[in-house]
Amino acid sequence: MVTFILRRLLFSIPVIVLASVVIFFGVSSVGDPLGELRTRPNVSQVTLDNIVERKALDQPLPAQYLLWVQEATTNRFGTTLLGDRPIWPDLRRALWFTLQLVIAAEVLALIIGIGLGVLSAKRQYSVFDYATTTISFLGYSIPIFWFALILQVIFTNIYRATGTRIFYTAGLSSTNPGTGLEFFIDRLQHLALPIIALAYISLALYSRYMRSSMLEVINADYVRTARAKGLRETLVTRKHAMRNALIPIVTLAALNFGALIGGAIVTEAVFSIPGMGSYFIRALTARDVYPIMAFLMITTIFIIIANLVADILYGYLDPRIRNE
Amino acid sequence: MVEPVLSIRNLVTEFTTPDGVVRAVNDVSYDVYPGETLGVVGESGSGKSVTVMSVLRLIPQPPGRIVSGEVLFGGRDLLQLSDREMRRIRGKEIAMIFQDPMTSLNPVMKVGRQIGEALRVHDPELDDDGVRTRAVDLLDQVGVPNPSDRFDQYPHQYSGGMRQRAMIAMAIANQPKLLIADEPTTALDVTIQAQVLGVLNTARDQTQAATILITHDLGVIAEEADRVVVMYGGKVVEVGDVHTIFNDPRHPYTVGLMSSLPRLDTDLDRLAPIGGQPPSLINLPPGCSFHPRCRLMRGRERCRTDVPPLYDTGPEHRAACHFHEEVPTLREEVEQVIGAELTAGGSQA
Amino acid sequence: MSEEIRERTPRDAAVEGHSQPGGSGGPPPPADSELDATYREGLRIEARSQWQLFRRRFVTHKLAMVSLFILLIICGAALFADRVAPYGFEQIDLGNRSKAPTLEDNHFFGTDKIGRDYFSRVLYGTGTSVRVAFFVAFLSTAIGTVVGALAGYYRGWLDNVLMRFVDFLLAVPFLAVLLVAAAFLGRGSPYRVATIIALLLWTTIARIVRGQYLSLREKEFVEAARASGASDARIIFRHMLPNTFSPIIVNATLTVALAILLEATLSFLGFGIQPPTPALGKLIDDGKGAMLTDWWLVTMPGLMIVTICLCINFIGDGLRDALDPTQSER
Repeated sequence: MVTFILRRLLFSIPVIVLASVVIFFGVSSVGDPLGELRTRPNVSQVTLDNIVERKALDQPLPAQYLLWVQEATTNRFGTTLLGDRPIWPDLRRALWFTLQLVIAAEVLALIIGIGLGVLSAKRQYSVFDYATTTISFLGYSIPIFWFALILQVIFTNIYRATGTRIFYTAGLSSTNPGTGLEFFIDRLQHLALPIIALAYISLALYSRYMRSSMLEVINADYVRTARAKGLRETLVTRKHAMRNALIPIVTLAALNFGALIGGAIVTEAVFSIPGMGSYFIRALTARDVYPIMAFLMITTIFIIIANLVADILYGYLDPRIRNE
Repeated sequence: MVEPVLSIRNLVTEFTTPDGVVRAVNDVSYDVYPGETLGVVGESGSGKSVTVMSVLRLIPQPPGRIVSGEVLFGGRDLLQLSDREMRRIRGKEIAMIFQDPMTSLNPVMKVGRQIGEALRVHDPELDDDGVRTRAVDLLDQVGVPNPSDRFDQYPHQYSGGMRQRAMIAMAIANQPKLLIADEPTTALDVTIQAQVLGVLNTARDQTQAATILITHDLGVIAEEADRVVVMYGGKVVEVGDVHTIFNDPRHPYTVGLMSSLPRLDTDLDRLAPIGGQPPSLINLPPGCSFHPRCRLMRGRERCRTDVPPLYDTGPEHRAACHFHEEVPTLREEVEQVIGAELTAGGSQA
Repeated sequence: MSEEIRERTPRDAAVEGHSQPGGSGGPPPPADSELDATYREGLRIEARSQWQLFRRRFVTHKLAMVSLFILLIICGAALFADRVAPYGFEQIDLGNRSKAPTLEDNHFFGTDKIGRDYFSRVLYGTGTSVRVAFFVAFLSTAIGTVVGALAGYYRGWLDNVLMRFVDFLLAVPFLAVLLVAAAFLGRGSPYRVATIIALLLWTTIARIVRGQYLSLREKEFVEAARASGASDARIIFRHMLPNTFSPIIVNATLTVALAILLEATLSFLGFGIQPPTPALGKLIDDGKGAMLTDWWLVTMPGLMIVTICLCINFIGDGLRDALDPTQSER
């Protein structure tokens, strides 16, 4: 088991390196970093020349790449193109907020999704099952940004009608959030709607797949054997059925991580959460390549970590693959 | 008169499918006596597996349903027991061995733990060490080499024969009074089959359990069974001891089965399969379900109108055919017809 | 294979013993003519082609049929928006600003703050979405199928390289990359945006097709084709491809829905299709400022997206059931 983990860890490193290469060359080649700036009339040639010098933009790309990697690892991603602002402090703060959002959403989606899936499988063709199926199909069909907007409308109207704020519809914290528990609750109230918006689609996915996985497993021969031994149905479900049914969900959750990040970008935009997503949009709007690359690099690393965790979990759950 | 260990009486089990109601078990009755091996033989779809699954009440409730009948075991009707009481019987008083050991064992759980589970369910006082000792001992009894190491292995690390042995170990763990083996050798190679049957015999000897051996393989029946139940279309069509069934079958279907079997003691070069298809269990033929394929029917209306009961055709021998007395001559005819064909075809008779 | 009940073939006879000279190798016909009749009755053959079987199964899937109907109407109206829409996309009518949905003057979806009929705007926007989505589905399916087929058929290093590439593409944050590409490359033309989306979506199909080809290449008909001298290309496209149609079609259908959602998200964020080309996402973005009062500005385009995607998903589901009923539960 330990060798399995180590092997997977080792394998991730070349992937990260490869990702950095692709990100750098990819972003550098889609556009001239200074393209946007050149079109602005109030940017002088001197400023442009300074930037070229600072960022060594007159060097060949591979050299720039190495410089970038150096900046990234030793100087925390260096500075932005315009304004020479250090990237890392902003990015780190944004990252922290986004992590709260994404992890909470993923956990929520997994718990509810798996639960719904298991129950739907046990009560196949019941009203409950059809209801869950409908929720899932809706989940596949509703754009996150629209769902987020609708949530905003609903809860703003609730506030207007009743005068009480259940959940906030924008921002990360109130102006005076207090400390400790008060702060936590305030943060929760602000993040609740974004979390719901983000979790909904993943939830639909997980419940569908869990249902189908459970159905396969529930009719499996070894479940029949377990019953023939005299086990209680709850034990059969827990120890035999679920353990096997969860295996594909683990891979799914990892693969879904990339989608979650995309969802976070949108959700943060709608709810004005100053997370990575907002950071990225701003960089994108300004066509500032360095924060863009930093963002892509960080998120890719997180996705790779998520896949790693999934692989390890998979190995833990399914002993058949441990030896390969 | 010895009391049967298990007595199935007029069992009816149905399944509701989108195409209609399937009567998988259609008024089936048979007994199993202590210490004997009862062979249950029949085609796929004859109801032999559904019957025993109904005995253990392992039929999935939608779409299946045990409609009526009694299953008497240990003085009680199993069909009337509560779920809890039934669970106490499963794996302890009555144990079952399934067909495909690869899929019948949980792939992500150690084999030893699965055997241990069978023990622990019925003896919760048992601690980890006790479970391990007993499970390793069971593995040893069924002939798994290095049982102590094998305890910690997973099903995919076992060979097919060993897996089936592990299944048998699981089944005999609690010294059941009745062992049900549902096609235990069908998924295995022929050489392994013999081994597994041997293990089954040992298991039987050690536990003194009565055994129901379900198979479609007549060779296995001839080897292992004391008595035989022949099933067709959800019904029992013949019952008797193994010698009688093989030498003097009294139901045209049984005759057909025997004739489909390659035999060393006759001169036949050809097999005579039973023409036609097994009956649709949704739309059973009226009267005797076998009549559309029966050579003995000869256009007689009775076969189409009256469902034949199990007639007594000899001591401890019953067959569900209105014309069971004519069956011995049927057999000769069949062999003659084949012989005639051979002569006409220019081959040796 | 596609016949419902198989007749005994010469192969069956061979298994049972040698066949009669001059005969088709059936079982000895029973002397009894009565038995003859019942025997034949039991063997009545109904040969149905694959297509008929599929059609029969699909038609019974009511939800899919209804969805198909609705989708056809919507697509038809959207694609011919210039003839169906009661007003022009940019037709301003300052006398009728910010009206709620009503039946008068055919303002079914109301008007926006400069009096443009919203139903027409949504319809035009839908037209763009539909065109883009089908283009994306077509392109990504084409690329994915070719890549998957090559990887699955040839295996070895080609497979390894292609699949590592696919894995890698899946490792990057999807929308983020899409946004970067769209921001820098995709200005204006909807087909540019569509191409970019397609270039990221082909990976799922590639995976599926590869899996299919991996298992198909072991089948006998491939060996037979090779033995009779067919070229690789012929085997890949004329022989194996028809056997992979069902997952490809199902996936292509679902890709359409995904493409609609992605395009809408891109234009909502301002990085996709740019005005003056109508886009549903942009409509929502424009409308969100007034969404608390003029609720229809955000609701209507959104409902349109949801309806279309729901229909597509139901159809995809029906297709999946109809094309491969042996597949495990949806």
